[in-house]
Amino acid sequence: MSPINLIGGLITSDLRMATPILLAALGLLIMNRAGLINIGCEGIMLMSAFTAVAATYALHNVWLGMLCAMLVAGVMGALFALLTVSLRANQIVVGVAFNTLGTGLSTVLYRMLFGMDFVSVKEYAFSRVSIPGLKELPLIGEALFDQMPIVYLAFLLVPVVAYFLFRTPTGLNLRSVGENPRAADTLGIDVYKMRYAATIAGCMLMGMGGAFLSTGLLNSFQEGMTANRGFIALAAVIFGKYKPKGVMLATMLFALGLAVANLLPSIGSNIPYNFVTMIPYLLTVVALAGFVGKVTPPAAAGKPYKKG
Amino acid sequence: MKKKWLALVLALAMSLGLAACGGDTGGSAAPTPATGGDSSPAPAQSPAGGGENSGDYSDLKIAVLLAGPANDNGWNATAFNALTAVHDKYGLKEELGVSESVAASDMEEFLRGYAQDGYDMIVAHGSQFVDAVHKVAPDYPDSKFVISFAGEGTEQAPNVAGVGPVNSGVLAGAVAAAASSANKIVMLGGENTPSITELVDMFEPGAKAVKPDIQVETAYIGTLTDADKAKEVALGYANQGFDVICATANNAGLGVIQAADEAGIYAIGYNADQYDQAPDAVIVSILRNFEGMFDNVFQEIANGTFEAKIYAYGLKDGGTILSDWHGWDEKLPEVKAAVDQFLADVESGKLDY
Amino acid sequence: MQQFDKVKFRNNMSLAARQIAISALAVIAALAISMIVVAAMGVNPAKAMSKMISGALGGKSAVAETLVKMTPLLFTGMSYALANRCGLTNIGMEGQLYIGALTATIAGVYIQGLPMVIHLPLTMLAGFLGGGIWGGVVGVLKVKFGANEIITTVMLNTVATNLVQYMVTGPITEPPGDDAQSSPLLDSATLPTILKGTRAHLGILIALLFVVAFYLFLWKSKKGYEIRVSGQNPDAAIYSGINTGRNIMIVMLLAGGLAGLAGATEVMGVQGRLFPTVSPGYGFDGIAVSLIGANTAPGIVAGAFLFGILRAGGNSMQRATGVPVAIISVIQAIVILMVVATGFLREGGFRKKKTSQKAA
Repeated sequence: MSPINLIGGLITSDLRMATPILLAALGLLIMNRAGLINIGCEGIMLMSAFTAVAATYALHNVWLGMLCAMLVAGVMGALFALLTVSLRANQIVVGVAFNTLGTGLSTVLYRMLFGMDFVSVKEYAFSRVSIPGLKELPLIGEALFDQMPIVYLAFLLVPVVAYFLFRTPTGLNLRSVGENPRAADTLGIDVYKMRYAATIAGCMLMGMGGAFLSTGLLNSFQEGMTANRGFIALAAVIFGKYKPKGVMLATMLFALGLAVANLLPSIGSNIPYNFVTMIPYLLTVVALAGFVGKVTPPAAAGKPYKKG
Repeated sequence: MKKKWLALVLALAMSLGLAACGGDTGGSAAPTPATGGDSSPAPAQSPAGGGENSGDYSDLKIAVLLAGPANDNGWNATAFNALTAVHDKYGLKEELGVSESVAASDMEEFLRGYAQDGYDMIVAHGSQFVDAVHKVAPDYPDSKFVISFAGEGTEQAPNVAGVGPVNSGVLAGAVAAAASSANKIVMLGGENTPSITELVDMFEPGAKAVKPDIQVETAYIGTLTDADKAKEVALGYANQGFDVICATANNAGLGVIQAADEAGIYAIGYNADQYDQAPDAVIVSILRNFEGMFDNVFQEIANGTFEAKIYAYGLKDGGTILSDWHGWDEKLPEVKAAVDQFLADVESGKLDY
Repeated sequence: MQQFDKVKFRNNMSLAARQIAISALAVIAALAISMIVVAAMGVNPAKAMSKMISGALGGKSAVAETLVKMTPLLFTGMSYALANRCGLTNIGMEGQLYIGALTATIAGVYIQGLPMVIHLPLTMLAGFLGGGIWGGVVGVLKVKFGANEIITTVMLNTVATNLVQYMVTGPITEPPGDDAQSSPLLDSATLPTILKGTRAHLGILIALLFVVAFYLFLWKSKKGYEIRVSGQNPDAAIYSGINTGRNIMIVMLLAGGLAGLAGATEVMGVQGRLFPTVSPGYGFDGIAVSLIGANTAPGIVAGAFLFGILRAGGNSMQRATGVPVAIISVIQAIVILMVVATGFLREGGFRKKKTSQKAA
């Protein structure tokens, strides 16, 4: 096995594994920029991972499945906004409850629908979009020109989100709501409406990530399958310093860590897997402590706002 | 909103539930003995037997405690499916008591609860239950506690027994070695827990028994649930030129089979007949025959012959068996022959597993 | 030292009573919704409910189970409340609990030859210090480096669970190392049972003693007063010369220590040794406990009692009806969501508009 193939495989694996995390992280970023911290990303991803499989199974179409997953995630987002924006409930507590809810409810619903059976939606899986010729390129051919459409979509969303947040008036308003809601309010921006919109849109992106995890990567739903990816997404937002490009690089770095970790056993390493698993979390703590430059969260993040 | 969603789901659940009732669950494999083993007389404790004594046991009650979800496609699912089959075989009136994902802090509570409710056979599926069983068992002499773990210390009280297959990994190693043409095979464990470690550790001896010079790797993925991660780990091995891969990692193991499918290499299924998950990759599955073993112990309880001992079922006792080959035995006759030879050697005592 | 103000005290108490009453109503509503979920699963909700109540309160051993579950919940509830009183959000209790269980196990297994009167408190102290250091690190990172404690605690939870998993399969595994568990704690480090024939152990009394200490510390000591002031109004605290930074570090250390004690009492009183999964989520339940209890001492006792009932009764309901255990998570989540959803009522609701406190 040549090193070129090894590295090529690593890049391919990296982009594939980064995709669900990146989607969720972009969703979290949008929410964060509007002043909302959502610890419940894990629960939302699990619910949408389940919904995607159930809906794909029922509707025989993986795209419709993903749409349903995003709808469910959007509804959860609306509930999150109702509780945290309108009722000014503590965002952290709601987020924790969402995680518990997502873990429990996805399992309960799966059992209600499918009992103990194993359900695969492989026959409806996303087909790869490959560009003949380019895909044969060494090193990056397979990684860049032979992936599922959602992978391209996720990475295309990075400049889109960046453009939206930093170049459009709505994006500016959204950020001002996250920085100083009082001032935004006096300028005539509807803080509540903006936060509702950001939450629903953000959660739908998390839903897309969850759906890709189940129907895209595995063609099935497993209880607890997100395996802390929601938290890694949260970490990526901070590590990426609340900027879309940074978030993308952080996601790819974490995914690379995971990809290398996954490769370690097969190249004969004996590092206990527990330590490898800890790496992204420890990196985030280090990043927060300012060792990678200053990380400034939106000033009003996590704080409820009361009109009037 | 919530109610509507529930109503919708309920309707779906009922229609699907009906459909599911008619279907067959893949995990509950019939205890057919492996080929090569049926010519010899059945050993005294053959778990593959059972059923001769057709007394009416329908008043007895069985419960099982699982440390994880019952549909984990692995360790817990084997026990759940096996006991469901035993329960149905004897037409027990009381439903099978099932407690899943029992936390360490709740083990004693659940055991006591079932014992108080008069369950006759309480299966604690895993070595982590040993302490809790020994705290509860003396208070309830009428209940028999069965720990799914054939290790030391399980049988210290008169109503506690250990039961389990031993050397299960040997068979996996033998099959994998027989099927490899690159002479590079790998066994992936989910996590470093006893029920998995035992299999992983015995993989290499099995492989070497068939091909002494084969390169054998074993490793732990570090997860029982993250199938995506398991898939990437397995792809790593496939890229290194390993051409037969076996995993025992519950739900995460599915990722390994998918990786084998994608990479065009062979996979050996574990715990359930996993042929359906990748017909082009899974050549055969290794089944720990808990159904036969639990059936055997249940009969001893029912007949009053239960003993506080370790019921350890090796390969030659039928504790571990092969699934159907689904036609792969015709596609790969030399593999089948090598496996048959290995099983014959076990049967004749030439190999002691 | 603040003057004792009788009127203010009474007002505070009636406010607390009101908050607890609203919480109780929220819980009842949540249980009603949960029963709809249970019914949707094809289980008779009346049977489920009665199993839940009898499993938690019906008889000596049922009550004992509730007390067993209450013990760690009291500690984690206090942990969250203490940090919250100081304006901090500690969602790292699960991790602190794991580390506390780990250090208590090490002290309880490897320190040999001590009489119980010394070994038992020493083991608890080890749990307190383990959790305390794990929480204290968060405090230091926040004060010295400005790292948001919400995120650091979330991240450190995963680190802690992985660390414990590694330790029980490696360095402190029970010889010869076949099982993912530590050796059993010595008898001299094991909390004795207080109700014969049940699992109720001394830990519940210790936890209640800590609740008293928690109350005295927060409401009767100068430090406690400072902490509450810094939580309510950090700027005023700084103007009046309170060293908020140091208080944050002290509070995170104590909060971590309390969560560590939850883990210590679990291994010392219930599990007897360290397993890779120490807690079924007691760390996260603590958030709900303190929320229901409105961060007050009696409220936390009530909240822990309620969640003890949910845990013990939920197990019994699950066993009797065969619903998947995940339903308990769903019920807990609904309870938390209902309690936070009614939070605005506790703050004065629509009747009184007290915006002064909330002004940004």
